[in-house]
Amino acid sequence: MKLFGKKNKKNKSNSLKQPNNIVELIDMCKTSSDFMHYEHSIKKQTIWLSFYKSLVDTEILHKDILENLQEYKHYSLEELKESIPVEKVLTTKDVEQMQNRMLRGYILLRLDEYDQKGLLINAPLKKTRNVSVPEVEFSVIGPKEAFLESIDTNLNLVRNRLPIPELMVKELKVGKLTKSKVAVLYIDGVANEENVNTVIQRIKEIDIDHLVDSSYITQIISDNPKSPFPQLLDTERPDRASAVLTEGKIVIMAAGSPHALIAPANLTEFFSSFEDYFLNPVIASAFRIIRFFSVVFSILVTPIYVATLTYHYELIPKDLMGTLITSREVVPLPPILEAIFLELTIELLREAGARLPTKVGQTIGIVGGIVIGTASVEAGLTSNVLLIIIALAALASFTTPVYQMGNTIRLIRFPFIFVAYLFGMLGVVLSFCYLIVHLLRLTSLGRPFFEPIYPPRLKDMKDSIIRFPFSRNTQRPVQLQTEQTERYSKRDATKKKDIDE
Amino acid sequence: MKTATIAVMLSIVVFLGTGCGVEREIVDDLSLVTAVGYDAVEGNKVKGTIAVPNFQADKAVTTEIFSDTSMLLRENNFKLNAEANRPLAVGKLEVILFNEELARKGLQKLKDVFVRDPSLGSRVRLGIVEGSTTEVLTREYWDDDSGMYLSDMFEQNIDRGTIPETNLHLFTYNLYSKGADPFLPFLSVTDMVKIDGIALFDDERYVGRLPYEQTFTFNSLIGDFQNAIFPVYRGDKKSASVSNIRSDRKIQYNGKGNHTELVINVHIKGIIREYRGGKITKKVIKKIENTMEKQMKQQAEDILNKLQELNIDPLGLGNEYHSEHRNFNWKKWEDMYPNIKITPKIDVKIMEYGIRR
Repeated sequence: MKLFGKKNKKNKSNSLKQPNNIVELIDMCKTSSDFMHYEHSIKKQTIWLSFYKSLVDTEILHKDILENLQEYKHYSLEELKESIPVEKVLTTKDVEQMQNRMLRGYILLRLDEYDQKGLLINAPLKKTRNVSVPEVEFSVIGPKEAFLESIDTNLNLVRNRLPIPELMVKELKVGKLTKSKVAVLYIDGVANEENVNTVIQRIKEIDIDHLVDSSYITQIISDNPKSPFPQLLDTERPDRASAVLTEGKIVIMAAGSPHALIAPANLTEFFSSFEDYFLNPVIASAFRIIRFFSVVFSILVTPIYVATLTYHYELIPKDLMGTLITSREVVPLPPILEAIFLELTIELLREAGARLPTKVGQTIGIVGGIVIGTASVEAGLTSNVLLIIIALAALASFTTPVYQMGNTIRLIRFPFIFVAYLFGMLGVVLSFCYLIVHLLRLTSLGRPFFEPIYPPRLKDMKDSIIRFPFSRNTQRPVQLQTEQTERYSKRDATKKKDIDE
Repeated sequence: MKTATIAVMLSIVVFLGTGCGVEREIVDDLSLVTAVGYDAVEGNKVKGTIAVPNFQADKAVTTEIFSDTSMLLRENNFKLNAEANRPLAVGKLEVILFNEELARKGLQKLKDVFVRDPSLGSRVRLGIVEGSTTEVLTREYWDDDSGMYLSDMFEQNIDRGTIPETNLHLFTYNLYSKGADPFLPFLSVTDMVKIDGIALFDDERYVGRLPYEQTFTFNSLIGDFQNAIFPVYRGDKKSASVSNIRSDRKIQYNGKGNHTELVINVHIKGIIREYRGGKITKKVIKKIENTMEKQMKQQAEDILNKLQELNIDPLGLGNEYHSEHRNFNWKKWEDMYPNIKITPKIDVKIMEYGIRR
């Protein structure tokens, strides 16, 4: 049986061959065509340069390094080092270090081809796009900056917003092949130390060959990786990242990923958009309530339709009876097939829209929405009422500000529909119980995921389903168990001001 | 994960294995019965008629009528099922009608089938029909199905205070209650089917009815109601229509034992909706109030006399008396009731009389 692949016990370790000395190293590197290794003669002497031209900024090499070496002859590496005005220059004999550094955009400079010792000069080529407008978490008002693929820029964006020495950045390397930089950010003295240690420990323990995006980390370090619910919040907004840092949360960034992760997270945060904080609390609360309602609506409305039409015709109000029956009359399918057919259509449209280039995608949306919808009703495949219900449910699921959560909500609807068909309303209640129990059991970094709702924490309710004004939100969330619970003085925040003079 | 799998498997076994699944009844594959009517025929048989709306694609509704005779009501349904193209389902039943003659024989046995069925709501409306219920159900009600139409008619009239609130639940409650007797709306068929007074019951038997004109007063004796119109007749030039915005009933007990006197205080706050005589002054209002009080008092006395004569208690006075007296004895109350002195005291207050353009 080769169905599951051959079990090969030998050759299991995937560690790479390590060079023993510098000659081996250079020989190994030279097999790649983008590796440069040559003797360079400047006015008074010759030196040996080795570097990956795909990683090195040649402008730095020419303008900052070679130009400064022209003036007089250097007899030692130390002398060379002094005349090179680049910040990270180190002298080393360590072959492993040389290899690692060269792969990160350092130039190896030696006086002779067979010298053991060499200078490593930092001259990395950085090609990134400019800071742009957030596209996933777009907001009408508020800052319009989004994270980039470059971790240094991302760190810069956060640190600019939090110019305090307590902001700690712990850098780790993940991925045997990619050696990606992962940064863990927290505010020392605010974030719970246990949380920080948990995050660092879990990231250190990651054993993977490549790490391309921060979403890999979410999947690997989540408390329950099998759950459809994301347990770490991802954001592309530096303002959100810095705001949660002040709350005492921990932010994880990975090189090459424009999304930062926020931990620990709770369920309500996935339904709050960061724009809520830019709006007046009354309006923001109203929007949040609408969003919560739309989530419940989105999950339950199709199952309830299926259950009611299959089992509980008594529940249909008498005035709706006529509309429902006349629209169902011509449909030959039972409610379940009708519902599945339409739900799949919507999912197809979404998937097609997401995969296709933007311009074609728009056309697909129009074609799908108008043509398929009306046509399927006219062809008698689905009823008008269900078409409206499904469209509204899909629309409601798109109101979730976090993309990952939106996917989850659309997915968990399907088991609900099946169970509704099997057991009717009883089934809907049953599956809702399963859902709630699952949510109750979930944790994020060991902190309860369902938190302000259960275990009930009234203090955290102030910023969950509704948002209290800033003057009432003076404490850090209980969920985070912060070292310093007060954000600012409540007395000052709520003090009645005298008349302005 | 293992426990979750076990839990899912277990619930499937429990729910499917035990046959706990509910019967599948897809709404458009059913004949939804919206109204039933029962008429007396010879012997102990009953003629049952059911109305099933047939929803047309152009939004029009026609009513299909099935009718047959049998002894048991369920038997009747079963017989009718043989005629229908889709299984009859009574879960959306809105109206149950009984023919006057049948009601005279007693409704207790007949209502059993409706109380026993869990798919039936307890807010089904009941009514007594003068003549044949089949005629009421087969009538054309414009674009509406007869069950829906009658249900809307009852509901609207209860909201507007033409008749007091009645439904299957209240009917059975009053039926089994010692200190009250049931009453139901009475329908008569002329050009149109209309609510024509209130059918009074002695326990389960229909014994008499109040005419339509007395429903306002009857309503006010029962309790709170709103928006009904009372015509105050004072000749061609001074007559007025008064609608009530509020009505209150309070019962007062004077004396003790057999000499107890019941005083029913009714407070009505009303608005003059129509006046024949032109300008309304304070004096006019006073006069309208007085006439209305007098007329209502007259009606109330008539009603109470009739109730005491029939020895029935649709006003639930027995329950009221029970709730306020220690050492209460039902036997004693039953003896006392026909001869007890009940005085209606009507107090009408006109709150406003509108303006004229």
